[in-house]
Amino acid sequence: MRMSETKKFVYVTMLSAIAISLNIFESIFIGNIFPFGIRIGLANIIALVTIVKFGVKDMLVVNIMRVFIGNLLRGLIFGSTFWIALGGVILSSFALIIGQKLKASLIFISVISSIMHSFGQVLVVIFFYKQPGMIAIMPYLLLGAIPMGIVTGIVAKEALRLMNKKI
Amino acid sequence: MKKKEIVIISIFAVIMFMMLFIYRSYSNNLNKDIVQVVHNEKVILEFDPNIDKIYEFTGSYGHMEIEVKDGMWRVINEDCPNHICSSVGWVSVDSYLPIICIPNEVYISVKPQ
Repeated sequence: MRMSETKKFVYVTMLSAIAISLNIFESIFIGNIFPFGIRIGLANIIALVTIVKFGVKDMLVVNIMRVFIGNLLRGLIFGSTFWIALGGVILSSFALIIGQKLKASLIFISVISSIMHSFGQVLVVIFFYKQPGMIAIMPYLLLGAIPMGIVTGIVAKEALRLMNKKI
Repeated sequence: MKKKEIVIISIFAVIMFMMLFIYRSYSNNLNKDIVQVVHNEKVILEFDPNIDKIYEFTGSYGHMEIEVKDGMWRVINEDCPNHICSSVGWVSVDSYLPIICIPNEVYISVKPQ
């Protein structure tokens, strides 16, 4: 898709804003429906849309903005939640980049990035917060990541279909 | 989704189920009469899950309470931003699940031998 620098900049900013709002919305309203802290990962939809529409660099911008500003707005920046989220986002971004390079299907990329997101969070908890007992919960989290990844993948696919019509 | 991708995800799910199974069989060898609360790698509280009682203690973030009833325990009235520890709900010796609260740096589990 060809568009001017400014237009692209505006789109990436808007996508970041959507990701941040989804992140905050999810943590406040649908935070504890599932046990063990399993979450849908609504903001991951935006990361998927961005990497397909705008490429790797802008996806990284959106993801990093979402962690920094999302936690800043919730007053949790540089607290434990922030570092855990950062660990998750770094690994899930890697998964997205590799999946995109291998030309895998969108839902598969979504599932893998969702699994890697949980795995990154677990790694941070085990190594930086020294809670080895997290290994016992890890299989539940990673199994929960599969349906959540499928859900976000389907939503992202639908969102991209609608976006391709409009833009 | 392609067939190969479904296979990869299924293999991954099977590995996770195996991990759960291995962990269960390992936890059968645990000392089932003592549950310990670890804060910052130090045991701050030990309790017997068969005695019904409410225990109070303070973590790094704030106050927490553990309710013990009928051989099961759960976290209640905790001060933390996400409330993940209380969303885990009732935990017993057999379900062998540790309860972890990261903001409080607290870890509640059956005592390893």
